[in-house]
Amino acid sequence: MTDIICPLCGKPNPPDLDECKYCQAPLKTAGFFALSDQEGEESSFLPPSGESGAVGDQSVQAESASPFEEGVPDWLKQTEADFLEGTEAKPEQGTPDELSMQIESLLNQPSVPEDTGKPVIDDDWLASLLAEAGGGSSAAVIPPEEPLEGLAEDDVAGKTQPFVEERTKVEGLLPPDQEEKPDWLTGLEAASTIKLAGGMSPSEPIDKSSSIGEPEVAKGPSQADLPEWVGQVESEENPPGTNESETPIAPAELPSWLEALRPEDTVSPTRPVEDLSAADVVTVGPLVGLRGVISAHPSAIRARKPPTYSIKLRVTDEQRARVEMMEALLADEQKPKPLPSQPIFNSRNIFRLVIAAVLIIPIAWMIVTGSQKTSTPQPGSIPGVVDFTQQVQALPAGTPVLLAFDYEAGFSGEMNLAISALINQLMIKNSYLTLVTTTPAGPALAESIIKTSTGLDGLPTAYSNYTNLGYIPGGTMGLLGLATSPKAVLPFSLDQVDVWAIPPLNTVSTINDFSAVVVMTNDPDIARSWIEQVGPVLRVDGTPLLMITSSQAEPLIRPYVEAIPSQVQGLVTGLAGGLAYGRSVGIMQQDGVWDAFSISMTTSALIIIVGSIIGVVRNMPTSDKKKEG
Amino acid sequence: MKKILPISNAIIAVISGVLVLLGYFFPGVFGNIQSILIGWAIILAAFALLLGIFNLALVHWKKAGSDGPNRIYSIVLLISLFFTIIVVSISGPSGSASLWIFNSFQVPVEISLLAVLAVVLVFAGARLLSRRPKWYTVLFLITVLIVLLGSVPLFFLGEVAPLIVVRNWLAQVPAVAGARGLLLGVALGTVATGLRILMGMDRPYGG
Amino acid sequence: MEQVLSLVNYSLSILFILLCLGLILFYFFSGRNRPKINLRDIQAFHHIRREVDLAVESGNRLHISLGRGNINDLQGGAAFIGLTILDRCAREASNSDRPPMTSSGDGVLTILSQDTLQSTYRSLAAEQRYDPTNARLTGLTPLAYAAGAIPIIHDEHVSANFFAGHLGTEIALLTEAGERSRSLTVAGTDSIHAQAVLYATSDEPLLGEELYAAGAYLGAGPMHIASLRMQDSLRWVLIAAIVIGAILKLLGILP
Repeated sequence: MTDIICPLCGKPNPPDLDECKYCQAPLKTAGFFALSDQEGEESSFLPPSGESGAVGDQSVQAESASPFEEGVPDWLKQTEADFLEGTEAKPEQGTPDELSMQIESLLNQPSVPEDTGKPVIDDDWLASLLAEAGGGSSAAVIPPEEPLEGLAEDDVAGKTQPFVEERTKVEGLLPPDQEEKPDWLTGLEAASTIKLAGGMSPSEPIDKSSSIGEPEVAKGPSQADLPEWVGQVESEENPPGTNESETPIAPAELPSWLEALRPEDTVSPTRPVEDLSAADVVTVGPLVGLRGVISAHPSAIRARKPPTYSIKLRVTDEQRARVEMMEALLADEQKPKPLPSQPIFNSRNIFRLVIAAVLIIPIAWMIVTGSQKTSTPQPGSIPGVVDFTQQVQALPAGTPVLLAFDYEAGFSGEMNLAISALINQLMIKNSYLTLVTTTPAGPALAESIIKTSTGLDGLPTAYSNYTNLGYIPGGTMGLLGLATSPKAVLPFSLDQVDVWAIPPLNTVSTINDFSAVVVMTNDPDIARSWIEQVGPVLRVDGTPLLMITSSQAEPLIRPYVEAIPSQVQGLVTGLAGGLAYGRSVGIMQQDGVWDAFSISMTTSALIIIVGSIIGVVRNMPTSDKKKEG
Repeated sequence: MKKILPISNAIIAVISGVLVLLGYFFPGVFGNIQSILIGWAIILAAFALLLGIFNLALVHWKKAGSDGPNRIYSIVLLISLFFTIIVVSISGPSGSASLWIFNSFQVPVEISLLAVLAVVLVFAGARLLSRRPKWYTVLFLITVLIVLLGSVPLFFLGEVAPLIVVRNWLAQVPAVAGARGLLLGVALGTVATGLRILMGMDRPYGG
Repeated sequence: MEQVLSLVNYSLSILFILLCLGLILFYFFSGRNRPKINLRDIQAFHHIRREVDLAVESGNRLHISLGRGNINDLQGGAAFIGLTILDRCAREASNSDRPPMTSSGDGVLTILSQDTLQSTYRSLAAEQRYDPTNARLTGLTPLAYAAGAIPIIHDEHVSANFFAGHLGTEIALLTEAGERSRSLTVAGTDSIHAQAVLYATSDEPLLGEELYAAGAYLGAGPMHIASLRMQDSLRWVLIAAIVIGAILKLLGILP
């Protein structure tokens, strides 16, 4: 049982199959008959694809192929079988040449030289046969070098597909004078003529009654039985074959326009483009002996599983090192580079330390030594101090006085001098001190001032005629509320006592009922708020509004003092004002504060002058360079 | 709700602001409602102070719990805060313990900061001309020097009368004039800001 | 007499407020159809915009300090301007790795700054980035407020500091801290003596009423531009009134 070799995967399949059971490729149209070791004589002709079930075994195959095989001589069959069996593993250089020549001699058109009456025959054996036959054979053998341009397409197809032959009727192809020749020669001539005429399409059903040129087949029908049109075809075809046997095919005359299209540099199409001398020779199949062609052997075109390639990259050591370097660079990009920390001892810090030392050391020296070299200011030389003193001295004794402690604890050093003197004066008058504040730290500051105040003798006094009403929230709105209804805004003291129900505050309903309002602040905005919110209410009854402020607030408060009518009846500003007021009430400072203040101001001015000169001198070269540029 | 809340916030803010403003100009008609609204504002301001202190404690609580480099300062702050609350709650705002904390810690610290401020200002004045080399910087520095030297008798020279006169003139005329001009501009800006809020065009309350 | 004076005072006040309101509305509606108005170049606002972009790119933080102004006082105007600047900066820097941080010295201002941040992030659909501890009360007294804000400048990876609000002379400590930490300082305050300190210590001071133009320069809306134009118009009116009054006083016409 002959298996059919699948042309795609190359695996054997049972002959009764139409498609390969492994890859489902069609078997009947392009299948190969497998050549087993036992079966040496197998036809390589393909059965037509239209047949189904006709190919079952070797005999059936033989039967289905019989119409083709009938036209092929036995010697050719035997030659092919031998080649398929033995020459596949042992390609011989010599043999393919001989085979190729033989096949070429069969396939090529017979060419007849012009000057010879006899056809040119390359093969000696054929020539000898023909000679025996006693006649020039019309089947001229075309030398292999003959160009194939004159061939029709069907002829070329017939040469390339020797297994596909066109069915023609043999009777019409045989010339009349062939009747006297032997049958086998006649058949040979017919076969060559058929091949010259063109290949047979595989789809055409095989007509067993028709013959391809086998002598046996040719025996049946005689020329007399052929229809007339076959004879006409024969007559039409014979002359070209006759002419060809006598004269070579003249090259076609190309028209000029076609000639012009021919590229100049192209190689002659007849010549092979590439050197095929080193190419493998086909040892199996109909193309046996040819070079540089795809072998038709199933093993040659067997579809193989594509080789698997490893997905691993082939990385050399150098490439690996470069990859690692790149990864390191990218990793460093993610890490933020810490900014270089500034050195502690740089020029700026040293300059700051020098300035601080130049300021602090003289001040400390003055305080430590209690220096009093600088004359204290006179009350008359500071505007507002005299009015302030007079207003305080004019207050009735034992009356409630509202004190607003709205300065920050940091300004205690500047303002405590004046505040202490005021508290001292009010204590002497036995005034009822009502303490309020609009700053969160004010209540503690007020309480601290009262408890640390000293008398004229410098000894601390335990003054109890006061009440601390605490913090007024809301800023300016709180002041407005205090001005209109202090009882509603501050109903209780810090000690949770209803001071508005006990004397002397039981007589106070509005802020006018206080004998004086003294605001102590370092912030000019707070001072303005008191002046603008509380001042109009105070002016109704002429209650004096007095202020103790820091030096920085003086420029903004001074206009209120100098206004007509004056909105602030007395003003003490800064350390100078405090000293002047203290001097006016008989309190003299002996602790060197004024000298320390004096030297600090002088030193600060000198530092600013020196620093500015140094800055100008340092910038001069750069400015000159810019001008030059 | 997300759309209604901003609109309602804006309506409440606008109506409240307009009523308080009208209370200034028509106290007989809108005085009472103005007083009520101001009272509410004062209460809210006091409560906001407590919320601010709570926010301060929360921030430093988080910092104390983290692994930052300066978490020790947050720990000190929290300990000081709670210790002061406890002491003042027991001793009272005017108690001796409360005053001891105030006088021992807050007053010296604030005075020290003010002293640092003085050094910083002197340092800034010394670098000013190199930082801003303009003609009005020179004018600025001259003014500073005159005010410094005219405010107090110089240590070695005593009172310099011309300096005192110029200083007084500078403090009462150009300084006050410039201050008034700036205050007028600030007042205009404040009026514009207030009117934007009264019209509901500016909503700092998250509306 | 005093009642008449007070009546005149009240009337003038009402008229002044109505005049301001009318001018704002006039400039607002007339400016909608006009092309963009060219404003005077103020370098401080250029620096603000640039620093916001730089902070976002470098992943650093902005520090906006609102001062210690009470909104119940005159200082509230500057505090509201600070809130406007906070809103604009928070919008521009909303996608920064480190969101802006605010500090203030007043409880109401702290709550308002928290509310401003939250509403800004909500409007940008980024409410998850809101952290209430990014708005801090640093102290209740001026120096305590400054002392509490200095660690923010040093420890929170701040690239730029914007001070806008009511700040006193304690601002010198903050600008010094900003200079030590090599961060830019742009500051504006309504306090006059603080402005003198800012001129000497800040990188970019906002003097006078330049602070109140922040909204117009930072693109807070056409109403800010309209109010800025109103301020400019009334400023000229006041200048004219002062000069005319001084001349009349010199001539003895005014008592």
